[in-house]
Amino acid sequence: MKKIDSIEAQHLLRELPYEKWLEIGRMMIPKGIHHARIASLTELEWSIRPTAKTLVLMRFDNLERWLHEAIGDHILADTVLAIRSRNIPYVEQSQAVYDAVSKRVAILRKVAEKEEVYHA
Amino acid sequence: MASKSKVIHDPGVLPGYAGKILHLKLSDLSYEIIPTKKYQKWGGGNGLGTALFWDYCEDKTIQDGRHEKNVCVVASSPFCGTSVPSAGGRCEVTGIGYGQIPISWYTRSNFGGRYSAMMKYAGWDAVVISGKAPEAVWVEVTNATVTYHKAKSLWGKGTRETQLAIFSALDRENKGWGWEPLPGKGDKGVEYSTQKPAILCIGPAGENQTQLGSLVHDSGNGAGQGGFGAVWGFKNLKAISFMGTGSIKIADPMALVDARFLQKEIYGVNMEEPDIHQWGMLGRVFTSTFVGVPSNNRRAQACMGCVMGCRSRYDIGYGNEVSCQETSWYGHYAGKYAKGDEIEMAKVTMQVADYCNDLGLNSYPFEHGLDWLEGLWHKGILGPDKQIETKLNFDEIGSLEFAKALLKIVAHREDIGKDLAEGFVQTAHKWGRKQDHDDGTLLFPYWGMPEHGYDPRAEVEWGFASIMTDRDINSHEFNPLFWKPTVAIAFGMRPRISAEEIVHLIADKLKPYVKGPECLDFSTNNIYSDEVLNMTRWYIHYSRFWKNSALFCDLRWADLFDTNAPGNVGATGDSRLGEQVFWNAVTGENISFVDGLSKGHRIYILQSAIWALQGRHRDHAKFADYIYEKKNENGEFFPFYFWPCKNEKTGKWAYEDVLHRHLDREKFEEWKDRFYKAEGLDPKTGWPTQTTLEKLGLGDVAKELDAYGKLGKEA
Repeated sequence: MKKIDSIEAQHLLRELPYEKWLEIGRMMIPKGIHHARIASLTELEWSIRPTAKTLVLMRFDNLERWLHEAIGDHILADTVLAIRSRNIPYVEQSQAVYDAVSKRVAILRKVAEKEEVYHA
Repeated sequence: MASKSKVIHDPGVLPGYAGKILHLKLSDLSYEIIPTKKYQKWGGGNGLGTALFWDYCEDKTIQDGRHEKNVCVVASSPFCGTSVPSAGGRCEVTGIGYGQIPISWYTRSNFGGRYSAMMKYAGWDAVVISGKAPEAVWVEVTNATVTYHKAKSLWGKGTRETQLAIFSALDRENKGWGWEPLPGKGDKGVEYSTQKPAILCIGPAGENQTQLGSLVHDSGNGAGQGGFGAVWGFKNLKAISFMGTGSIKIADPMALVDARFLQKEIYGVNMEEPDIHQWGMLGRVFTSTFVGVPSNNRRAQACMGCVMGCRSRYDIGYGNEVSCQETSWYGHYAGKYAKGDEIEMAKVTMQVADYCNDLGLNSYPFEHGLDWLEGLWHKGILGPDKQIETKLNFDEIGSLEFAKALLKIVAHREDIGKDLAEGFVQTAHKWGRKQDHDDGTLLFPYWGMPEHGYDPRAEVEWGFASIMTDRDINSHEFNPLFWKPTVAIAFGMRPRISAEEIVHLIADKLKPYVKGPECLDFSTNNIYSDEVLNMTRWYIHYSRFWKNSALFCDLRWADLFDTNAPGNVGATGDSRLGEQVFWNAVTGENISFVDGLSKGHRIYILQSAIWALQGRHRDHAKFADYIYEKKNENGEFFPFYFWPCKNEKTGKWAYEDVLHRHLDREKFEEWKDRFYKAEGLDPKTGWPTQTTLEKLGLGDVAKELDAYGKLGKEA
């Protein structure tokens, strides 16, 4: 189990420069596909929150790469990899990714505020 | 101001029609009455408007709708003000628009509510607006009485305040709204009314002649595309108010009631146990607020005669009946600024939507346009003391204040709004950033208009029909073929209707235009086929007549398949309750569903003649470069885009992902050759031929084209 310090947590929660933002979308009927750009993990969390009227659109391989290369959160990236390897429908994968991101952001926030937390 | 002409009230004698068309001659503030009978064969809405434009526009070569010679028509259909389901409240606007590239085409827009119904109850099927008023005016029409009023005190006001001011002005006895005396007491035997007038007006965006200027009616009803707000602004026309106490004669009321009840019985939604996995347009449960609103307590708000009520009045009061795209375009930015606070996000998004309506702004271009501007800001190109100077602070993007500032500068042509008011693509060119349009950074694929949310590289029918007409087609006939399988597969469910079954169901509806289900094979190797071409022709003809002229609501019709009905058969064209059944019941005519499509073809050909006179050539019908040169790599974020495809080897149908492709320029040009030929247009120019025009009874049109050297050559 690796300890994470507040500096690293704050780093993972930082806002990225524009050129590293992640593009995702939502499908809305009848409007079609709506684009959105994600600047940080915290923004990712609420942006991919499932809603009743829209379908979150994201490619998990791109998300995984973004987490590795842009955010630098290899633990969360590996979690996404594990989720996308599961043989479950896309919507369930999206929900699982959302849960994982949500949990991760909550932990990072606590650590960033100097609470002592260990990776599960 | 006194009106110069007198009206003789002539109650409608044509079933479904009021019987008269009002021609407002703004230049000398007079008006005339045109008998509807002469134009009855054009149906209503788009067809009626186009025929009137042809007859009343003295110079069809103009390329910018902000011109004294431009004629704008606001038209109803026989269905308006009747109980035809989801058809009684639409209203069509036509004329030369403003803001498309390379030329502002003769175009159309459409809005809902109760305006067209009230127009007919007042005794008018349409209003033709020609000339330019010498000063700002608004027009009051109460039954047969037409009065021009000075609009100096309204100029500068938002659409909400404008309508309230007109309501007050018409409250002649100052009693607040109640029993209002009608001008010319005794007209139709009615002296007082509690009816509230229906008003169509412009806000500052129209007054300042911005490309994004809309016409707005009540709350949340707007004709956005085409820049008709700017056209009215140029004409010094602030508003037209209708109040009517009449009614519409229905040729066969029982046939209408029977068809309506049968439709309810077969396709209606069981509200006790709604089928949330229903496939089809007519029998679906649907609300059109997209941002997550923190309340489900809504009162359905419907256009007149609609059985759906897709707009909402929420108990929390956000939004003022705003709906559809305007409730989503700012949502992500608002969420970002509110750090994910859903309530704040909803509140700001809905307020911004309402602010768009108040300024009379079309919100659609802002969706991709703001994304582009934000990119320029972050790249250090746009901002204070930057290459492109602006006082807007994009660090505040997502706040209510930022949105208001952005929308205000566009509506008032201030700051970068001076440029944006001409259109986002035009702005990119002016700023030396044409490449942003060419490479798809700015997602505006056709005619300088924003992508609707359906990429033409994947959803080709939407793109083909848009580029072969004059604007983003915004007609959702085939979208369920994408929505339904895509959502089902995303949820891990077996699609409720198999690809094999659905293509047969739809192809049956498209006959005799198509031979079989191959018209719906969205495989890359089939999209330029004759069958897809025929499907596109059906799509244009259907939308031109049944949707834009008969004015069936786009969000309910066409119903090409429907799981509410036995055999999953949709209502479109059905001999018991299809479009033509309602048409015949209301008008007393006896047309077939396909007759309606032929009327759509005729309308399209007349419009092609207008485009030819405006200077259109087939070479103009081209997508932005990125549609041909870049694969649809939006697929980087969008995991799949399912459409029916037929396996060439096995002959089996399946829903397949059609992302990751671009169109082929050469193949599409060759497709256009065949399309023009099939339509009776000269493939070299795209202009109508004499034979085609004469066959359609448009010999006079041929003469005018010939006089301008714009008659297409015969094959």
